Amino acid sequence: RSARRLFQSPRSATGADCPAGGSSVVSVKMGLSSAAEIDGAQLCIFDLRRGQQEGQELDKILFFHPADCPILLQLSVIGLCEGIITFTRIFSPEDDCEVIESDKHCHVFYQAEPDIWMVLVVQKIKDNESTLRFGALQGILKESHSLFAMFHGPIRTLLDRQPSAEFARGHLHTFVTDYLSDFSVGKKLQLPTYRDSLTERGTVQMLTVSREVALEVQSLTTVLGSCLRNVICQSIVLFEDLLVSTTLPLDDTLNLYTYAILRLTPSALSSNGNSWSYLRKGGYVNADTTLSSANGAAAAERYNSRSRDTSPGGQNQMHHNFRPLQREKLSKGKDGFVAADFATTEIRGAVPLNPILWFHQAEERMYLCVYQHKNLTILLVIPASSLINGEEGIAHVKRHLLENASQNIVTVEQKLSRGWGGENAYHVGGYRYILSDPNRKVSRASPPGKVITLSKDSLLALNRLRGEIDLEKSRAKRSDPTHDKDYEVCIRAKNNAWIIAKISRGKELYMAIEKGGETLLYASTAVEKFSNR
Amino acid sequence: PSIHSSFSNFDDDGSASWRKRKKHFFILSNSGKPIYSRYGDEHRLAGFSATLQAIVSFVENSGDHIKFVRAGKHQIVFLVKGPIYLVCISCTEETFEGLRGQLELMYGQMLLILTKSVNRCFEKNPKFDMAPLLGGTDAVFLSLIRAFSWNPATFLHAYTCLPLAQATRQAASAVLQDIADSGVLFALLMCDHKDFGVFFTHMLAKIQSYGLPENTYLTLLTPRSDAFFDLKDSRARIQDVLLKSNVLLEVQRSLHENVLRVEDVPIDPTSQSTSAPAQSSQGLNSQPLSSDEAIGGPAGLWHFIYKSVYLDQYVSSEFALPIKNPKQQKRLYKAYQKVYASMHDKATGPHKTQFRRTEDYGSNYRNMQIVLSVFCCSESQLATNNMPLGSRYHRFKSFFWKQRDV
Repeated sequence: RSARRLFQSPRSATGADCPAGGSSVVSVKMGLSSAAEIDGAQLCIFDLRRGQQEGQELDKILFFHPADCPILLQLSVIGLCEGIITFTRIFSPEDDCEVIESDKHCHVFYQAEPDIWMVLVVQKIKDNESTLRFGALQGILKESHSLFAMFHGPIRTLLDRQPSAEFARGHLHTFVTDYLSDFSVGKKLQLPTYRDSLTERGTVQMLTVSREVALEVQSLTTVLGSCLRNVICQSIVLFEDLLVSTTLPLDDTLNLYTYAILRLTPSALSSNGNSWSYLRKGGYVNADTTLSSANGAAAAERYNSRSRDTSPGGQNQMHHNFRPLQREKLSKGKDGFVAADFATTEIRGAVPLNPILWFHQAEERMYLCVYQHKNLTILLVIPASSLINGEEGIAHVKRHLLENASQNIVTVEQKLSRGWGGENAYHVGGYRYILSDPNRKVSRASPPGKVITLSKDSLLALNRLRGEIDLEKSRAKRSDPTHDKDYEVCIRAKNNAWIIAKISRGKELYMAIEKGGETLLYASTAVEKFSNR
Repeated sequence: PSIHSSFSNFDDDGSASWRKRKKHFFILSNSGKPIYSRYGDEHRLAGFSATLQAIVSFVENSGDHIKFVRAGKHQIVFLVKGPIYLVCISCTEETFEGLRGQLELMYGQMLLILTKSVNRCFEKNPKFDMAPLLGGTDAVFLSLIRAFSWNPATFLHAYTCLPLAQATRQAASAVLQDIADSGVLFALLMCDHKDFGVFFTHMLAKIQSYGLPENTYLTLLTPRSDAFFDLKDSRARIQDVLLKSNVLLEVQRSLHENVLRVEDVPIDPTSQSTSAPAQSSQGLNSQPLSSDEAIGGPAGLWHFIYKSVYLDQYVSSEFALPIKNPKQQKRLYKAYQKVYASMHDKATGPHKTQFRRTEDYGSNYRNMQIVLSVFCCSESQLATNNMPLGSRYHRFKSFFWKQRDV
């Protein structure tokens, strides 16, 4: 197959079910419909090792959002992506294709696993080119994949075990759709723009505690660790939405922390149960009923049958509608444990499920057990290999926790509450900033309530600057991965705001100061003052 | 066989080496026919050309226009001008805006040679083979491509003047104005890319004149197609006057003597930076600079460019000793280009001031006000210690303005 053929109009897939009563415009003659006519963003996941035979192109597609997008258009999008990936490999075999920028769209690429690609297609608002940042958009793809792999294992493993890909497609469909529901506003996806330039996906926000409290937390962690005889359990402790302690390695901590912030902390749980929040967030997406595209429909049918998923993550997730991101299934029980009830209606009296997660860095499968006391959330992680009888063993661990750790938990919660200054505790007056340490995956930023006070011009300039710095950072990493390059930029924007970026010894500071002096000296002094605080 | 291996058929006759080059330029027609290629024989690259065309058309068919693709350090930038597609594949650190601007200049150069009637050729015959028309013009394109790295005019969108005494400049301009009634729309006198007499501000054709020194060019533009003999006459008249007057002598002298040096920038006696530059150069590079090398202008100034926004003219200094190495100079121009692109971003620009400091090439400071822009490059440690650049700005302003008129 020549490269050119990759860019020809896809022939209509044979044997595919066409959507009944299409609401989209399809130009049957050309075999293509205008991508510009599709409103909003698209997210697709495809495997380049599949569907390489003529007429089998549909097989490449593992996931496509929106699910009711016409098949021919899905093939057209994936065809372009695959073609560009192949094309860029001629010149750049070591570096992955990252982005296609066109007048109306931005295609963001991420090779999640070897030959498994995720592409986010974002529609641009006219005349405002700096509103999107590649790094922020790619962060969504990375986060969704990391979370997926934590619950279901790597996609490649699912595909290897079941080459027909039903389970892979089924799991991806429900998981990613649930994940995207957080971005839904009405029928569209609201993705990060320049207004989010003082946030950093893929980092943990930590709570700073006094030495005294740190010691209390440490003894709590020790007690938690011994909830199972002879086996050390791992744990993560959160207060409000901030990390207090963790015994897991960095990447695994980040994954579990992210999940907790999305669904398990007190603020997340309160929005789970509030039905009005669904309307605000765009509603509960019923994955089953939106499977009208050919690919999805076939997968859904097979998914709904009683076949068991024997993938490693699936042994506990045999209930086929295990959806850890589905909000209304998660709730805090009277015993203080947060659990998910994924039982189907046919199975009466089903026990709430304790999911098994795959921890990539720790290289272990572990049960997750969530306990919450007021504003303190404890994520207890138990090695699956040590629990012969899963559910019984978990029950035992829970009892042990309640008996032995309750006092510690109450004490820690009291002390943290006393010292808690509220959401604005980390706000530094006069500055709007984000401070991040990519090596430790930690960040701290001005609270959203304060960031909103910045003008549009300041945020646009900051967003554009972050994009430029992202490019510099990648270049520096390619030329010398061991050495962190220092970098500093101070801009006096057209609205007189100072927009500052400073990278020093691997740590990054991005800042906007709107009411400041006129000279460069003022700006650099301000940065120093801030750094000292 | 993997898809990747199907691209190996671009290895025609060992021309695979072009794939490893840092920057390619391609011009092709909208039917995929190659027109120009910087490396490799454009006819051997017909397959590759067709692939580029397929990419552009694929996106156009969906109602969109492709701008660029990025993969690691590689950028593939596209520009569509009617039936002509221009593509740049580069792994230099240049910005998209910079590369796009270079493609615009390539297109302009092509039009200079072929005129816009090429559009009509393609209308009549979409499969028109334009490559032969550009036969023999390789040197022209190569020279333009070289200018992208070495001539800041390409990203500043400004030109630079040769410093001359007012009287000399007026004399040169006068001689050009004399021929205005012979149907000449525009005349330009240049020496080594620096002009010393200008009548209008658009440049379209270049003729080297007989009798003038080799590095001097006279450019005459006329809209009349039958003006050949009139132009010859005009040229002869101009040449006569220039040779008889002092102008040419002045020009040659100025080329060699009137260069702007950072060391000449006056030191503000009230400033704090009276410390010897030599002390502060330690720690920047692994090898310590000798006290001679470290000396630049005040505050360790190594280089500057000053652009007048109203006049679209710029002046730049010679490179100070620490950046005499061509590689460093090239990198400096790239840095200027990045700052320029950043400051003039359509959505967020123009910025009023921008200060950049990296480990590579010291500080890059740009302060822009309505009338003029100043780029400076200086040794970073000094700049940090003193943070004086803002205050230097006003002195620079008056210095540069004076220099322009000598």
